[in-house]
Amino acid sequence: MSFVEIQDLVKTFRTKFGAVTAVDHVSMEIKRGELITLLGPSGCGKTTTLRCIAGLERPDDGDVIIDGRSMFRKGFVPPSQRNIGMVFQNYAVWPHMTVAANVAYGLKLEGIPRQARTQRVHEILALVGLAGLERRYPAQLSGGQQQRVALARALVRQPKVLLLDEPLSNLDAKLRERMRFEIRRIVKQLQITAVYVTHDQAEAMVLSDRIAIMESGKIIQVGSPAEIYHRPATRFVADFIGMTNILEGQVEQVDKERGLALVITGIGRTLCKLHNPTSIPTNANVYLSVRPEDIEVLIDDTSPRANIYKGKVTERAYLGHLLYLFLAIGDVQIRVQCHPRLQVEEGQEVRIYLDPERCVVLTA
Amino acid sequence: MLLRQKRNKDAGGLWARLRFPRWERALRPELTLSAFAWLVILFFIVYPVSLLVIDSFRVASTGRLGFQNYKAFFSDLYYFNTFVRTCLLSALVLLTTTVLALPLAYILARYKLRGMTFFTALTLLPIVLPAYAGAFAWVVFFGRFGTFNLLLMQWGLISKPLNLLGFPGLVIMQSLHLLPFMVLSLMAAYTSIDPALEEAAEVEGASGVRRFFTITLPLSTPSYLAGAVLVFLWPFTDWLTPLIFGVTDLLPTTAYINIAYHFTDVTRRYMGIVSVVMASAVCVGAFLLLKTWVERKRYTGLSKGTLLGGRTIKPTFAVRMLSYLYVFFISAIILIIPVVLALSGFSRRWVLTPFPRYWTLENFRLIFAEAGMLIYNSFRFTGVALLMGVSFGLLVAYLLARTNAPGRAGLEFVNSLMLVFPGVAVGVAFLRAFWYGHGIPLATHWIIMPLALFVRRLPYFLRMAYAAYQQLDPSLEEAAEVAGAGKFRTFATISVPLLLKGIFVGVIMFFIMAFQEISTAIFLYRGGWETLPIGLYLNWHRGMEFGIASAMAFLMVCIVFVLLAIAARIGGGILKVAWGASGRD
Amino acid sequence: MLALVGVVSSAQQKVVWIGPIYKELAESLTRGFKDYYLRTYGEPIEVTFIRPGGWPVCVDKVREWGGQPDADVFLGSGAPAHRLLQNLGLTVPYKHAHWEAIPAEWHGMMVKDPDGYWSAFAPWLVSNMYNEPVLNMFNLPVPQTWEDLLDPRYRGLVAMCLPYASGTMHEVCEIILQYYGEKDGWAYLRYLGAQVGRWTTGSTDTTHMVTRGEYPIGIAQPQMNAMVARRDGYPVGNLVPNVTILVPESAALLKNAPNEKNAKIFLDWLYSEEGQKYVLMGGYFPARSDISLSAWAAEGITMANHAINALGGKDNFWQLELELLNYDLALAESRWDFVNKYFEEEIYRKWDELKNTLTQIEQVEAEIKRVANSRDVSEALALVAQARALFGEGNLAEARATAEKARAALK
Repeated sequence: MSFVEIQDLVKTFRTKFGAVTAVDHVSMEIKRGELITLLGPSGCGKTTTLRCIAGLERPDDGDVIIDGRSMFRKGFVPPSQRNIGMVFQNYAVWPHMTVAANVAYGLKLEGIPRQARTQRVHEILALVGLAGLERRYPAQLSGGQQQRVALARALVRQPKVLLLDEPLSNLDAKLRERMRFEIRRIVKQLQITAVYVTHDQAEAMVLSDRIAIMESGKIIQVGSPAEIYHRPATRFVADFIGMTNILEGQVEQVDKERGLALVITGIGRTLCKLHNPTSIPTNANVYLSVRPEDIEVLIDDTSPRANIYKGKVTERAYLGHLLYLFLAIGDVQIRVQCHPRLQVEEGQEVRIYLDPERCVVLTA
Repeated sequence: MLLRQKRNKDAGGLWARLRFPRWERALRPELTLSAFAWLVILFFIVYPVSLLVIDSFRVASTGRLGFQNYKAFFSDLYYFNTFVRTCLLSALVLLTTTVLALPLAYILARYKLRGMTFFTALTLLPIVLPAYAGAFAWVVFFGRFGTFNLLLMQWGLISKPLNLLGFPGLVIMQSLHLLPFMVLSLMAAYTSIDPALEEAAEVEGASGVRRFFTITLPLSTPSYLAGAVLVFLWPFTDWLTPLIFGVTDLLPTTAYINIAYHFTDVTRRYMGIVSVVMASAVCVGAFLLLKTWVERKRYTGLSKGTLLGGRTIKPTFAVRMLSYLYVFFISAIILIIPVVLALSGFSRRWVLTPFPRYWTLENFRLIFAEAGMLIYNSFRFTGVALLMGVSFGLLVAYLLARTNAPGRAGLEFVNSLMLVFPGVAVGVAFLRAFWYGHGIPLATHWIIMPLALFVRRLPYFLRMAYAAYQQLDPSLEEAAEVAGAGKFRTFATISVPLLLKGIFVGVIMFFIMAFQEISTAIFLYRGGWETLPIGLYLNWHRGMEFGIASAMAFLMVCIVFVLLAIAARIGGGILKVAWGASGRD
Repeated sequence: MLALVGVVSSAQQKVVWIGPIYKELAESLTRGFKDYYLRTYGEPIEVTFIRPGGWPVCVDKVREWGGQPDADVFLGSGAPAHRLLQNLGLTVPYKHAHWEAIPAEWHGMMVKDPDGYWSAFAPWLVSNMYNEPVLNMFNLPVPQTWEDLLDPRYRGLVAMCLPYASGTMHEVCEIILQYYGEKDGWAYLRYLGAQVGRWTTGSTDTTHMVTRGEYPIGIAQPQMNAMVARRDGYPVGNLVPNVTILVPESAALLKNAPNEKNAKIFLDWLYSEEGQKYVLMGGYFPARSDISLSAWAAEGITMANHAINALGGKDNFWQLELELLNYDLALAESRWDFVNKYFEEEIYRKWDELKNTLTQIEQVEAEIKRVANSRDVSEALALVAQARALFGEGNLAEARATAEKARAALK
């Protein structure tokens, strides 16, 4: 079923400080037409994984299957024979060739006749919004335009897989945001299977059908953006994606039937809904992740409910479209996101409510 | 099963090797290329040099190996003094260049003055001029009855001519030749120091001289040392300038004389070889010492020859005038070389008068009519060497920059060693290794000449090609591979066009340096293989042909100058080009 | 393409010479012989001349070839080199067409080998050279004898090379040693060493130093160097010292010469009247006894006039009237290496010490002279004479100590 399959990939680099395992037994399946993102901090092995798919690195072990064909185990298939497209972080647009020559390079190697070639180049340039710039040299283009040339070049051969290695990291913030949608639009329009590498979680959220979170050469979690955001598998994922409050705690009681757990944390007893795992032994050390937007500030409500805590506002940060409050509850600092018009002063005492549904219990 | 799993986990590399087809690894192109590169290095560098070193241990009387030669070298006061005197010369040359270069480099790097590009180019000229050309000019101009003495006597400033040749003259001549190395190193240092560091010192209250000595100078040290080692080593490799100046008791000169004139005295030959090995050992040793030291203590990006940026200062009127005066002075001394060579080349019988009285084109007519072979040989040998250098240099540059083929560090190491290895040593080693009887008789064919040039001058090209490769983003090549191009096609359609500029400058520098090579060639040439520098040397050595020798030197200066101008045009400025050359000899 | 060139060139007639003759002679002979060959045999000949250095270096090169030479003719250098080649079996006898026109000996010195191994084609005397205007500038007379050269006023103005670097210099050492005897000969050479201002790399380097005026006196010069330099307009003169020898600059056929036929044609031509004219035009004196320089001058060979001047008006080299040293060639050969080595170790390497010691002795002598009228200096004079003797023996430290003793004796 899966179109691209990564099987138990291992890649070790020898460095001055000894061997570093960049990719540590990574396995993943990618469906046809799917846009999947490898997301993680720098040095997590996401780019190496991508380069293994491209054949630019040779793994020590494991294999990559593209459309049923083994890329490593049954003899190394060089990048030139994998029929992939790749967009590099720094565009890698050849400065000694025109835009058209850059895009036509691969077609020429395939032996496509001139006329068809020109036609295809023209179409693809129109698709990426560069119509009319065929004869320009890269030095005459802006960064965003070079980016589009790189994209056009990667797409023109109608590759089986499109690989994108942090393609937007060199653009300025505004352009980056626009290009996210653009890339998704183009990839989806061409119904192409794409692997996208980034360290920018917002980019990953916007673009991806699914996200694979990587840390220290391992894939920690794979899921849709919403799954990843709301049901992080580990403390690392919760911390890496979006903003969250992490509370250390110990399980006091578990209600298996209702899937609830009572956890003692620095702010007191907290009731949590167990999602994943659905059960947990008592006395286990766990983390709780509660996102700032999932915390409700109760101004007048004094009704005695579970998961209500009292805290003192130590700091407030006004961002225009929202307001962050930093509360001290005992020794613990909690960040709360509230409506910008909420009238709270520094030093004021407020009560907050944590929705048990939104308190995620993490074992690691 | 358990064991197997464990091994799988621990030794992924080994496991992978077992599972990947063996033939595929064996055929990996970089391994083949690396093996080839190493074969070339082993055959043309390691093999001859090892023979040379072994020979230095050979006892003349028995033909066996032993330490007698070295014992003799160090116990014979003459050889020991030769060694000491060479060290003294090196120290004095280093001192002179340092004193001259410190202000010069500062003026060129920091002050915004009109016409500085021109003066920079001028002061860097000796880097590409053959040292012996400068020595010729010096002898004519500063000889006992040379222009300088005669003018002083005419003006009544002195009554008896001053002796400006000999040891003190040698110090000045070599300093002048090496000045550009020092200036370039210091300029690199001055310009790569973050302006903020100096500004910080200024804010703290240190200004002018104090700032220079407490901040600028210490920060320049690693870069200075890189230049200083090259300067210090030069007297250990240059045998010809001392010979022209009549100072023969220096290590390389003694080595040359002993080997070239050993005649029936075999001991003399072995002592010559010991001298060569000693000089080489000093060079290699000092170079390695510097390498480890600099790697340990690097303030600024030493290896990055970034000659842009840095701080520029607008000096006061007085400082500006003094700077101009100083730069004019240095430039004038340097300009003596081409001017005197031209005067001498276009005249005959120029003796005992400050300026020639009999002008003629006869010398040049003779060169072109009768010594055309020399020019032809020079171009032929250099051309063939260039072909070898470029193909091999590109290959090694590719291996170094783009693969993880085994032995890369070694390749780079051997290459950088060749930069400081004395030419005499290469010449003697080649003659030893590639002659009949005791070696592979390659030296019987003219191909040995370009081969020697290739071995000796490869570092210049390789440095340029490697630097160009390092600046070339690998993803440009990867993009081509992903687009369906094989390694070779990628190399031809993407790498080479993009490297072209760097390669071209490297090619020209290689050509210039190979064109003027004499130290190695003098040992290997046979009748009919004489190059322009050899012809020049022989014309000088046989006496009375000084006009022809000068005309040849002038011709070489012109050729070099034209090539340099082309290189500067392509390479984006004289400084960058000169930087590439600054690792010479 | 390369192969083609190879085929063409191998079909061509060739002759290769190796030897220490000056370039000008080689060029003159090349020109003349090419012309002659083309004229006589109707096809061109390619001439290659190899000159790796002075004659010792040339002999070395031939020896290196080990009996399979890359050359056909050993062209130039005197009896010692040719005797050595002969003894090593590297040359073969060949009596050329004009063998009888070359004298067998002159003033007791061999001019050709009786067995036909070699014969002189350009004789010359071992002499010295001076630069007149430069000597004038220093207000110095021209030194006429070997003794004159030791005058302290010439100190630092003499250029000379080491005997192993030049055959001519080696002959000078041998002349001195045979004339003065071994002990006094070495003493003389030590004094001469102290006079040296610059050690040159060879006798041609010395020529160069004198013509350029860098040093006014050059030791060990082939006689014709001054002639050629004067022709070129340099103000130099030839200095035939009171005692000297003849160097019969000779040619010989190398064993296993690759172009033996052409080599023989060349040798026959070299000693012909035409060949001898090219020798003269190449700046050497012709060797045949049956030629007249004045007749050649009348034919319009300007070089003949220079030669007549250089020979003091004589019409033929062999008409020169002088006494030659009774030269013992066998003795010279037997100590060839020793002389070179001893000279280098005892004189060249101790050069500074020689100069210092001699200066010190002279200072003491000056002090003695100053007080000679006022007191008895006989003891000091005896001591200083002893110091000079010690200097001559090479016992320099002792010589200095004795000079100091002489100085002390004055007090």
